[in-house]
Amino acid sequence: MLPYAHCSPQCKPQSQRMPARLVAWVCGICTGGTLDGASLRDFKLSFQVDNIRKEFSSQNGSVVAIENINFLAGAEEFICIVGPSGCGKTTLLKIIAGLALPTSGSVNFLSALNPNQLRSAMVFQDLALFPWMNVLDNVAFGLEALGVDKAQRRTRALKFLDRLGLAGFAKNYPHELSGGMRQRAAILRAFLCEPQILLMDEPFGALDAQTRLVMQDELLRIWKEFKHTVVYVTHDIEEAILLGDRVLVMSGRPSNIRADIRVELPRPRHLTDQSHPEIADLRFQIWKMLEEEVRKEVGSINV
Amino acid sequence: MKGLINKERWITVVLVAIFFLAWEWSAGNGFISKFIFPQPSRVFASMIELTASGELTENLFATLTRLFFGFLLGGIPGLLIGLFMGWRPRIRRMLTPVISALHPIPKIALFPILLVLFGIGETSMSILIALAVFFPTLVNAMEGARQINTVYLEVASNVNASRWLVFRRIIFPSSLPFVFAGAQIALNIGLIVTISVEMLQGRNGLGRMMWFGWQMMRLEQVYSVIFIIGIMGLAINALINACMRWFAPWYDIRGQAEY
Repeated sequence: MLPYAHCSPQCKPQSQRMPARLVAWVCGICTGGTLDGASLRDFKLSFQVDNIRKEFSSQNGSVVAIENINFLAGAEEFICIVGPSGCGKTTLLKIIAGLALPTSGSVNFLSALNPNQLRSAMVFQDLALFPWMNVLDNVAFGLEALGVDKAQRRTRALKFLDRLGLAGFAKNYPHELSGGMRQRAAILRAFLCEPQILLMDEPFGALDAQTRLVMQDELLRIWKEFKHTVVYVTHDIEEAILLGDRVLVMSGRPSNIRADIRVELPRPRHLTDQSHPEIADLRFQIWKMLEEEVRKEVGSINV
Repeated sequence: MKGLINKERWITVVLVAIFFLAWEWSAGNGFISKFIFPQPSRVFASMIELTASGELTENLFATLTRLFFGFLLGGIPGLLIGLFMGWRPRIRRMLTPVISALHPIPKIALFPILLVLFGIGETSMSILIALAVFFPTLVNAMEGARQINTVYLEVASNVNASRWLVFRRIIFPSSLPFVFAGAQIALNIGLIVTISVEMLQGRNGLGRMMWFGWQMMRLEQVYSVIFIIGIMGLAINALINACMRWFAPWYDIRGQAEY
């Protein structure tokens, strides 16, 4: 539950060319010794977000969406980002994905990439399954782009479709599926190409509460198997605590990272679990931070 | 839903039948001129006669062949250029003024120039039909490629999809409903131009038949051809609907849903 010092906005950004090991060492220091010597040696880094700032300019002048964003992501780490709506969470995710360019700052990837491996794949907020492709073609699209041949695409996709309970729907179009099924297909499309980093933009935002619980469970199972770095954007505090190794709390516009909270709870986690009173503390702590921002936002609407 | 469609169909059939019966009755009783408006029964008889002699089938075939080749000749470039214009804004900005300026020119007015260029014959006719087909195909294909939700393109660039893959798997299939709507307009305009140009120059074809009917003062022949053209319009509509169902079964007519 110790905040990472290097993630506070006051902290100087890490040098861009700093070797990964050194960065890991700094990171270890910064965590206040959360990582001991042994685990530090095993602590592999995935990427570094270095002092990112994004400005959107329009006819009415420019708006700073995010600024002073700094954090390190470890390989195999599940990072949740929470923040008030419109704080630039999606923008940050798109910058990490390389779909948008920051006005200044950079994202540095610190681990080697296998040939034909994708650096990152994204699950989009509105899922963005192609309505004109059946489920099989949809989930295999990433593989198709990577140049995997048709037969292999098929076997790999079918294997996972089966595991996710979608095998009978391979030839169906997305509009013929339920919301939960579509969600699973969208996630499958991203992780089937085995990217190093999985970026998720409120993937379960449109689901009902029960389906969401089941989907969160499935997501964790998938993650345990593939061990990607996951960056998961959500506005749901409980979801963030339930899923994340770390929760980054973003402030309102121009937003930066207000806190970087390590969630030291054993998995599997259950929100109703009485044996972990820390959950309630965490929830309260994060909410206190967000409440201020949300009140500011609501206040500004009233004015 | 299906029952509703059938019910509406029946109302259409009844209304059309009433129209023809009224026509038949008033022409038979001399309320309207039998010479200018020959009764539908006489038109129908002439249609059978023309079919029996093989004249109608032959000319229909000639018209359809011209329309088909003209449609391919104008439709394929229209489709490709339109899709590229919709996909890549720079190409669109470059070509839009040119297309806008050329679109309203009455294509039939270009026929004399084509005759000088290519001589009297099928070539100039095909090119004229192609020109007529080109523009509606292009405009619709462009709109089809433009309306693609950018998130789909982001998905593609997220997995480093090549441009060819983006075109083949995203731009082209997602534009299909618009392309078919364009094809329907293009086929109808193409048919209009085919028949007009046949009236001017053709050795055969439905247009020629109509013109011949006027020259011989056999107006029931003119009406026969008009009926046939109407039936062709129905066929074009059915063809497009079939294509839509076959090639774009995901498309919901109420609007494209996003997932």
